[in-house]
Amino acid sequence: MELSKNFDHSAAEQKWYQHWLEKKYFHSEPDDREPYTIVIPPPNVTGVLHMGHCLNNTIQDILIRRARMQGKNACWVPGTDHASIATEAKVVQMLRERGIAKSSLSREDFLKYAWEWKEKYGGIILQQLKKMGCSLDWERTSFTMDPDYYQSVISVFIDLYNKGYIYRGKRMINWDVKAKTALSDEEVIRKETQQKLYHLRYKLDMPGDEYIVIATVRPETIMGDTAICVHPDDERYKHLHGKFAFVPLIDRRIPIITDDYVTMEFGTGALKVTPAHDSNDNQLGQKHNLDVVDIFNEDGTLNTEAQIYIGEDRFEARKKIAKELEEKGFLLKTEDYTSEVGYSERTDAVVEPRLISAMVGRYEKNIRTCIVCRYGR
Amino acid sequence: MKKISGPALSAVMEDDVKFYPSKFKNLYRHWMENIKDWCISRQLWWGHRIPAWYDNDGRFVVAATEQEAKELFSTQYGVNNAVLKQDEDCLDTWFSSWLWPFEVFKGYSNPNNKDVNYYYPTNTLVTAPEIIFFWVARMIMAGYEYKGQKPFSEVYFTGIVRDKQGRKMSKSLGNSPDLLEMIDKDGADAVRFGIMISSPAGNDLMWDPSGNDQGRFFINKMWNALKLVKMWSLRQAQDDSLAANNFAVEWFENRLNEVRIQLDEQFRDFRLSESLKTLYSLIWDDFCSWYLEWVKPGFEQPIDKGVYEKTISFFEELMQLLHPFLPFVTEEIYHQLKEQNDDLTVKQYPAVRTTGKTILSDAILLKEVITAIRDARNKNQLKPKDSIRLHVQTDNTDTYKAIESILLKQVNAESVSYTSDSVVNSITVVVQKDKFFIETTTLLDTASQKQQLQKDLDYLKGFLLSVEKKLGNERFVQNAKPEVIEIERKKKTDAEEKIKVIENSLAAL
Repeated sequence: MELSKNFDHSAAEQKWYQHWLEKKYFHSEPDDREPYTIVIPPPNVTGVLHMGHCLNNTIQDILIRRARMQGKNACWVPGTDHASIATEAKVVQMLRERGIAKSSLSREDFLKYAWEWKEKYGGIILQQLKKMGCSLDWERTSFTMDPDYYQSVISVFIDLYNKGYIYRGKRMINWDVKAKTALSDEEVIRKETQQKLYHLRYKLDMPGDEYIVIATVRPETIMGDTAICVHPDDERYKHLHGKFAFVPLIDRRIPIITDDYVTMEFGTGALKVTPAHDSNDNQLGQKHNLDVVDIFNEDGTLNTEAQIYIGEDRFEARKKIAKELEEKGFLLKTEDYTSEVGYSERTDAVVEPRLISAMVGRYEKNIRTCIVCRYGR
Repeated sequence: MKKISGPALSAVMEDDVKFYPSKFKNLYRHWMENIKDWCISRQLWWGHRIPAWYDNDGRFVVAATEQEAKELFSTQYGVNNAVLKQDEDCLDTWFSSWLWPFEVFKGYSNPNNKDVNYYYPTNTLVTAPEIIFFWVARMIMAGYEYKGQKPFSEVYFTGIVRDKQGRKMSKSLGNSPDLLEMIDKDGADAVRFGIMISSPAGNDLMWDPSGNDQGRFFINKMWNALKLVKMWSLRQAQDDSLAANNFAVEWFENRLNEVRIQLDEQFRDFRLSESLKTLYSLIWDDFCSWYLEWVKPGFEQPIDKGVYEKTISFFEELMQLLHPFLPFVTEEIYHQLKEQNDDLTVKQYPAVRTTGKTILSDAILLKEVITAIRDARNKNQLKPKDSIRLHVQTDNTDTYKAIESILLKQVNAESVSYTSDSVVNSITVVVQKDKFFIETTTLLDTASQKQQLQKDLDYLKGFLLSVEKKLGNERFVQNAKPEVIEIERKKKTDAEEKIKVIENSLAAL
């Protein structure tokens, strides 16, 4: 056979990969040899090959091929991960292109479309791994929503729940208003953000024109205030213990409570307490048995509990409320203020602390709570 | 209080699950000791739907099916045939992928089946450090909880791929190349080469597109070597009188063995980029630049059949060693070398043998001598076709006798003789402990020779000064390891000797 002048990579890649597959060199079955097994970090079923995959899979292929030549029974298991958020986003986009809105579909119908998408486009990345030369055991390809796999996940959940590792709680969670889902702490990126600190006057419920000033970066949440908190040793507010004040614009009468959680030096030393919209406030609320007023919808707009600016986006509402507070004489001053704010790693939306009912996993099982969970609250 | 994270923490801290690099153990421990509750509800439809069933008052049970839920509800709350609705939420994706190592073998759905018993625990997990908590830690927990065993014996953490300027690759920055386009254009092997040869930046990698080019040149080099060797196949003869060939063959055999031992060590520590560099150098320098030159038959001369077959087998073994990195070109070359009845992909490595230290150091000496003499030839404007007569002053005539014929050919010498004195009217070259006198009929330009020698002398004197300064530095001598000091001492004596030789040569001119 005449040797070609240069190495023809396209021809060689096609020829040899096909040949290796036909000879089943990459397929493994248990036998007497020592096994060498690698399970692939399953890429998203929506995934397309990028440099990160190139590095990661080249390394795995080097290790597996070498083991195969060292007398080991080499097995490299491929597969994909169903990637909840990413896949839903792709399916929603596909539907939009067909003029269908997700909101018009039932859960079942939506899932039919999702499976249709998966069958058509899912796993393209696996074909791309072949182009790289990866010697995967294709007969063992797995998907996290294969029927057996699915059932196992459900069974594990039930098992852990019965053992007391899972409970249902009202959780202050990191909420993504764009993806409309909860985020774990690891999915929240904290970034230094420039904000404004608003000093607001809350009229006191006593004769005369007395007021207490609180400082907040979130004037749009005052409608969720159910208390004001001061430090018990703060001389400035000793005369206000047990008294009441009114939330501006909505006139809710709220108690002035004391707790040493307050930092006297920060702002005015008086904090507004919003148990539904801040995790620290939530803890305070539980400790002092405060009312919980949740003023946001899941998309970050104000709901009817807010009483005013219903339907407005939280940041839009902030601007308008600040203006209204100023016009009505409740705004004493504003100052620039920089602090760390949480952003969603996925959508970059400003994370909204939110109270939802959720299933929660704990790493230390609690027998007492287990019984309570099992028989409901 | 039983902690599901307990066994997972100790497994890593006690190296039952080994982390590479090991610095990640600290990060892992810190997280495991400060672990917070895991919110697993997700307000999504595509995924594993939470098997919780609620009545209108919010009371609930956890069960796999509606039927089972109703039965359980009846037991717990005393309500028969309650109207129940399933939780709308799905589980966090990580709640499914933490079962991956055993569930791909159906280890939970079909416990103790022959696959999971054979393949689990698995060997190596290759992943990125960003998901050490999301995924790695949780897989270890699930492994101990449901299989009573670790899911894998070692975890190799790869770095992030960055661009030449050290920035993370992202679509918005436009610095992320189209991988499939690159594979089409440069070939998968070159792309694999490029990513593995990238320079490390801490734990991360700085990817440079020139890596792909280097890969292509490397592939070309091997392809050209293939063509050269195939040409020799046409003219083979029985001629074992060629002692030179015995040296070259014996040397390369040992060199291959030496590299195989190095590779084993490198692979143990996941130093794969180093392995690729080792193989690159072995093939490009040792095999192509030296070995093939040494066994190359003369113009229109045949090659000894034995040497030819050895050459083919060396080439095959090189391809075998390189195959995990560049699978396609190596398989192709393997089949082009001769008619094969097996494929490289499944060819088993032969056993590693002991390496002959002497022949390896002799070959290093030979390479240095050839390089030094060629250098001297160039500096003295000798043309390649100008032959020389070589005189060697050495205590090691046996070594030189073995490599004579290679040396003669490689420096274009018509004769070599052994002397105990310097030779007048010659160019002097010093290599290690030996001196070489190059006799040539070409008129030597004494003036430029003198100039060159003076230059060399000045350099050596400056070099000697710096070494003496180092050795005179109290702090250095006190703190350095004895081997390091010995190296400096040797540098001093070598320089002093060379200076003496040059001063003699200058005097002779």
